[in-house]
This record gives sequence, structure tokens and C-alpha cells, in this order.
Amino acid sequence: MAEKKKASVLVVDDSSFMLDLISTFLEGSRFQLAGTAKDGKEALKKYEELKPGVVLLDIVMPGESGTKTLERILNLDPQARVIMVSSLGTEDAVVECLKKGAKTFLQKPFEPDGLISVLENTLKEEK
Amino acid sequence: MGVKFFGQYLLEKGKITSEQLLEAVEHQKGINISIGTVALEKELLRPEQIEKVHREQYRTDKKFGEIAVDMGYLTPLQLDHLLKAQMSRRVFLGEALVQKKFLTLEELEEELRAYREEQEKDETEVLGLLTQVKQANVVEAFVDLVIKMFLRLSREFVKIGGCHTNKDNLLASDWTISQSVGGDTNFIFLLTLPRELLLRTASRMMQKGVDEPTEYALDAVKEFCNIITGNACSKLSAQGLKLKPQPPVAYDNSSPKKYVVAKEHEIVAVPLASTVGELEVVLEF
Repeated sequence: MAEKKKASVLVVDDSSFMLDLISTFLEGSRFQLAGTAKDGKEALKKYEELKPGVVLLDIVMPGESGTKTLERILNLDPQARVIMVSSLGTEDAVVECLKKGAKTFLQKPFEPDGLISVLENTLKEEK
Repeated sequence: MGVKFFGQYLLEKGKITSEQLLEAVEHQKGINISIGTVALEKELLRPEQIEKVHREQYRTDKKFGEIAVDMGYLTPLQLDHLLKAQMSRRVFLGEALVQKKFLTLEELEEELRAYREEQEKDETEVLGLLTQVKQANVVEAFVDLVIKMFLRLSREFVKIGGCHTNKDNLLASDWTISQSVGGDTNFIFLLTLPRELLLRTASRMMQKGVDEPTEYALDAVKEFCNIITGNACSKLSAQGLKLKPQPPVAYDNSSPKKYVVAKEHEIVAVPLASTVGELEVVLEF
């Protein structure tokens, strides 16, 4: 049987540590790392270039915030599947992101299982 | 696990979709009425008084009822009646999810039980002495989260050693991580710690031994602080405070670029003890 195609993930975070941590969490899962970006500008460039299946997008970043980057990605591709990642899990923050078009919200800290299940749920909802 | 509201908890567990959460929140908003509206219905406040209270709310971080009492529009007893009347008509998110048929009553009960267990497990007792200081709620939230996150992410036991407000008594140690927070109230969260604890925290976060404070190791410790700040702000949002953190910055206190508290700022400092030396949480206002 042919191996199921892996869904690709673009990870956007200003912290190199978080980029590596998420990349490690993705290893061995049905998701593969498409690329990483350290700010909103780079995220847009990489999104256009890589056309990832899902974007994991940090909110608190220097310069343009993750919520602004979310808007820009969705302007570029209204079908983009963006999951917001932040330690700030207030109702206002979550609702704002979902209203702007994020698929869901993942709060830090999270375990590998938590990340994979959120990615799986996001893709499942689209079917 | 962090401090999160019930909707986020259900979302992460995959029990509801983001569309369902948004729909339930909108449904709640449509049904729930503000304390001002209840006061208007009961003819205790006039529209122009409500407007004045709202204007005052923009300037302060106080609640509507508190301001109305301060302004002499309501007595504390009237406010109490209004709050009870508001609560009796309030639809909570869980109920909204059931009303919209996104969860059954049985599922809601089960999820609420699991959610409460998780949140209670998260409750750490913070010493009573913290309640006496400026912006005690902010200090408590940060100290609580520092203790929890050291235990959870760094597997390090840290213990409160006291509390003071004297800038001259601040702990002089190797590193300070600072993170500014703005919004309803502005302050800077500082975590000052010895090199060994910084390296140990970086090692735990990175899950590999670190023996030098490289940019990458500092990045891991900054992320550790970012998680503390985000979760503390989430906790404070339950008290009605809207806060927005900025990215954290690391300062090497042995270098000329060491961290210095601004002259015009006040501080609340909470010294903590760990197995590898002293550290300190400081809130700079």
C-alpha cells in the first residue's frame, strides 16, 4: 500500500527554540515540516513559496503581530488553514483569532500529542 | 497545562469546532445582559448616568458596578441586588453549547468536571503577604505561574522567600529576562536568576545539556518566560484585565548592558529559593 501523503506545516515563531521544538514534535508524525519563518514578513514569503497545508502562527512577535500576519495570509489565500499558537489563551485573544479566520488556537505550553491532535482535528474538519 | 477558559479547553480537546465556539459565544452575548441594562430595567439608573459610568470605565480598570457606587448612583445594597438579578439570567458558555446542541448535557457535565479538576490542580497557594502589595493580583498571578512553570517545564522546585518593595534590595544575579506588558495596566515582568539556573532551565526546555548561555539557550529561557507571562495574563483576564505582552528580552548583568530598573518606576520583588541558588520575580510598575 502506498504511504499516505504527509500534510505540510509552515511554523512561524520569533523563537528559534520554539521552531526547533515544534519541528521535533512533528518528526515521526503524519505531518512534515514545510519550512519555518521568524516574523510576519518572512511568513508571507514562505507561504507563497511553499503553499503549506497548515500554518502554525505565533501571536507575540517583534514587529507585526501574529494576528496581523493571519490577516495578510488570508488575504493572500482565503483557504489558508492557520492555527494560532500562543501562551496568551484569554477568551478575547482566542475569539479575535477565530473571528479573523484562524482555524483554531493552541495554547502554550503544549505536549507533542496536543499539537498533533490539534493538527489532525483541523484537517479533519475540512473533510 | 496552562490557564485557559472553558471554550479553549474544549477546542483543544477537539470536543467542539472553532465555528461552534464562535457561534456559542455570539449566542451568549445575544442573551446575556449587562449590569447597566439590568439597572435601567429596574429604573435604578438613567441612560445618562450609564453613559457617564461607561466613560469612567474607559479611564480606569474598574468594573461598572464599582464605579456606579463610587459615583453615588447606586448603593452597595442596590448593586448586590442587580448582580444577583444579572447572574440569575446569565447563560454560561457550557449552557450555550448545550442550547446550540453542540454538546449534550451529559457531555457538558463530564467536560466541566474534567476542566475543573485540571484547573484546581493548577491552583498553587501564594502566601498571604503578597496580598498587601501594589497591584497584588498581578504580583500573585506572576509568582504563582513562575512557581508552576519551574516545576512543570524545568522540574525545579522554587519556594517564596519573602516580598519587598525596595529597589536597593533587588537581587544582584547573573541574568535578567524582562517582558513588558501593556493594556489596562502597564508593567514589566522581570525574572532575575543565576547562570546555573538559567542553563538548567534552558537544558530542560531543550531536552539536552547546555553549558553555555548561547543565543539559542537564551531563546529557550525567553520562551519559558513568555509562557509564564502569557498564562499569567490569561489568569488576569478572568478578573477583567485586558493585557498584551511584548516579546521578552534577556540581559547579561555582568555586561555593561545589564538590566536597570527605571528611576521613576516602583517595584514589587519576590525573592525565591531554588536548589541551585536564589532567583527573584520583580514586577516593575
